[in-house]
Amino acid sequence: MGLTWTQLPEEIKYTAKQFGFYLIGIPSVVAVVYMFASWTPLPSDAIVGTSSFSIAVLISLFLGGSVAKEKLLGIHEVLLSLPFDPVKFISMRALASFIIGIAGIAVGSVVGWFIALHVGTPISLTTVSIGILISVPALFSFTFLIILITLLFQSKYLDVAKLIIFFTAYFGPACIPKYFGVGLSLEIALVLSLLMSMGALAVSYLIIHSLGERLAEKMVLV
Amino acid sequence: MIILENVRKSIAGKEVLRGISLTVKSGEIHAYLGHNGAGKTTTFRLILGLLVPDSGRVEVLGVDPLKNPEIRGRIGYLPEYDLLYPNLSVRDNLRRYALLKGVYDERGLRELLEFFELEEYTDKKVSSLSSGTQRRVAMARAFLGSPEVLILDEPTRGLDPEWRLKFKRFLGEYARKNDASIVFSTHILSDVDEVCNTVTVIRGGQVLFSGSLEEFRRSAPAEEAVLVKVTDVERAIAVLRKKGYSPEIVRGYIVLKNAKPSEINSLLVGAGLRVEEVKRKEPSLEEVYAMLYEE
Repeated sequence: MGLTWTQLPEEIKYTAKQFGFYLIGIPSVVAVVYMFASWTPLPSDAIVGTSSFSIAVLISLFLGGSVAKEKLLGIHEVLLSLPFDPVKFISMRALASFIIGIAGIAVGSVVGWFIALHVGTPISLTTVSIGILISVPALFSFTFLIILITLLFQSKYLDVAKLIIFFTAYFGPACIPKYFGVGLSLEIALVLSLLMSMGALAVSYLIIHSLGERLAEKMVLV
Repeated sequence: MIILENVRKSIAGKEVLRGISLTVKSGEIHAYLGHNGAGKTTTFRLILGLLVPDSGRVEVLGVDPLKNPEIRGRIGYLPEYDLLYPNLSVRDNLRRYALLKGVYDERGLRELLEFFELEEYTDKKVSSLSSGTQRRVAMARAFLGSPEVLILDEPTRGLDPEWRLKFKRFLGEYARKNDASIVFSTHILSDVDEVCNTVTVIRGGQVLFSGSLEEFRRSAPAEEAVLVKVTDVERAIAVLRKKGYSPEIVRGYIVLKNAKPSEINSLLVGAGLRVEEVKRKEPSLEEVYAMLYEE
């Protein structure tokens, strides 16, 4: 009894159902970020490098929305009353969201590649695939951290911070190269993605470790 | 079986539970009563292992639920609010919960849908249902997997009288059949009547009363009131008024406060009246509860 990884397909299904039509937002955001980046004078690998990191941040914030909604409705209390450790549930949820996110990023990247091609900045599909791979670690770790933070804290400052991060990541790939003339090469983007992922996981670990058996309590009482 | 022993719990610096003890045996339906903010929901969350007690012991089915989260697979929980996914169908809500709990069984699910008369709403979104129907969905969710322990926080909130009655009967039958320990809170004390074996009343995080339903009835100082049925009501009232009583007529009975049945009987018979019935008025559970709380 309890949560097993065989339940992952169901979790993906229900997470997707919760988003419903809004799931279209994932490829749309990815395509728009690609479009913004392709308007800059950056070379194709820098377009992908700069975009892939931003995309991971944007999509993880987007995916955290389903948990935020559950929390707003109080459904998280019912989920926490189920027979498993809250960390396992967050991991399952983060993984389900991650799979949905990566699928959306893949679709959006293809659309973005197509847009970039028409804007006059051809990008090879291999570079696009590398970009998706760069997003992978950051997407999972950020999604995990955002879900955890969403369940644990409730503050308007946190919401404002999320909004600022969202818009910075959204417009960053267009504005930073335009005004600073620089972008992230694929290598730097990968290193940055790995470093930020490790940072996000370390923060998650510290939060979980410091709360110990009071993790569920903190989630219920917030 | 549920055991809470001298449990204390503070939340945000306020002591919500101050040494609560509670035992709910198998096959027992226990009413857990108290005003809003008395600490009922906190107690339920402790039983579920969602909160960490500051001191004391919590044991459910022989284990500490905090250290053994898997025990929650044998507990059914109905929170005060329905907490359903509004944009999912009735079936999806129940199916998701059952799958996560590891108790999914299509036949069992169908039986619950049938019992709670939810078949016609199975594929409807929860947000499109009335509050009473949503409550029934939440109830069905609590019974998924036939749990051995049930924690029901105001289960009949939003239900019409017919459903309240049906649910009470179902609860009694369920406890007997499954030898389940059931603890529920309510502000509707008629729900406690007939169905509960034991009662605990808490105030300000402390136990005011704990015992059987009968003991609960007798726990408050009974109002000395008498119900009388006579053939000649008008004459009886005149006799009673003359003796300084203030009779009232309620549903065909003459009701007298601060009176004793034997005295009233002698008085009316002595006045040549034919007395059909004289009995002591039992205080309602609401009255007992109110008296207990006011003490």
